[in-house]
Amino acid sequence: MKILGKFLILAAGIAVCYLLLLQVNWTSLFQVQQNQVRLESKLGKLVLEQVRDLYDVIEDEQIDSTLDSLFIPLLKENYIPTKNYDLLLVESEEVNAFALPDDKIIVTTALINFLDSADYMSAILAHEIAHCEKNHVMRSLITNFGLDLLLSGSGTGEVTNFLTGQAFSRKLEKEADEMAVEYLEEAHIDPNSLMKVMELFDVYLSSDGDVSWISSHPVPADRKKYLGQKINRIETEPKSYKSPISSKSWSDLQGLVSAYGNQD
Amino acid sequence: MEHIEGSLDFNPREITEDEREYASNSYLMSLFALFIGLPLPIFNLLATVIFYLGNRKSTRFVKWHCTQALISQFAIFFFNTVGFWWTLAIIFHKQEVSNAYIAYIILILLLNGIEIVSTIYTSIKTRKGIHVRWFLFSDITDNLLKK
Repeated sequence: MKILGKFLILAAGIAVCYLLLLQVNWTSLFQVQQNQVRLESKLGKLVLEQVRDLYDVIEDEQIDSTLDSLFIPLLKENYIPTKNYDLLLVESEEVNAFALPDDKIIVTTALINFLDSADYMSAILAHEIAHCEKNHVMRSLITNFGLDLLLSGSGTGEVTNFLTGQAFSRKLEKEADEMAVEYLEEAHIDPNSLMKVMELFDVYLSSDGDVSWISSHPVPADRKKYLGQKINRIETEPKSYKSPISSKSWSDLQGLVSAYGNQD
Repeated sequence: MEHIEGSLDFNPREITEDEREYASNSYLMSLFALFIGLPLPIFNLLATVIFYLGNRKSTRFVKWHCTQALISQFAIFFFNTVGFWWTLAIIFHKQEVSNAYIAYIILILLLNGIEIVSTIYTSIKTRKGIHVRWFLFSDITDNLLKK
């Protein structure tokens, strides 16, 4: 009885302490939300600096303007604020695109030369926007680097390697693919473009090409399967589909990007 | 944790230097393991269990303190384990950082703080042969060692 009585006193004491602590709005006191935003912004800047060290960033008005013609409608038609988004083109022989913290999206020159149509580029951009909007970048970083990163802020080199490798989990990739279908539909771009990109990568992979974007993602066959199911689920309006830029503008962009590569 | 000091069953003069050292170490073991094993909450308990098993056939004074240290570690282990898995759930995005979570983390920091201070205090006193009884845990220890 003596033990039970003391146990109850101790348990009640701890419970009262917890209830008292619960009365404080800790998330607001510690500015949890604001700190997460600040951390993402800080990390975004650090990783972007590393990307600038690793790759040559192409800054060409004509190229940027064509890319923006593809990128901005995707954001606007989906009511996503364009303010924080940044699309950067980097020179690389790797066919790759990746999202960085703080809504920065990087695409490579090899990717532009690899894709046959502007719609395919829109499909990849929609996929990367989905990663940003669903906060996959920060979620993956926290899962992979956990408290080390949050407490010390060190290891940005590892973070950059991780992000350029795009090793998101299959669950997150599937979520981004499905979200991309919705974004494309809203922007009146054929969502089947994403499936066609998979087919293109599938063929290229069989020829041992260096396609980083796809090698770190679920296999194209699986993606095509669930993308097909997703497209069947949503109400599509094929008649409204229109490419944001003409095929000539796309070819011109590829020409400009190639010429840029040849200059070096 | 509340401390009730006294030498009810053990007279400091009758306790040898070795006994004092072993009894004192039973508390210190958990502290060392706690700092080595952070943030995993199992190492301090493991260290205390190993020390307890190693001193099962020791004198009554040593056995009593090893048991009290072990029971106290079990109690704190329960709270730390809940906190550890809750943190993992947040890292793996099964849960959000909430007021309930932060309040719980502050609670276990407080409990661990009290446990660490109590452990150091008891270890020092036990080294001098003074019998320190902890609130509730000493009664459970008495009960277990009576059998």
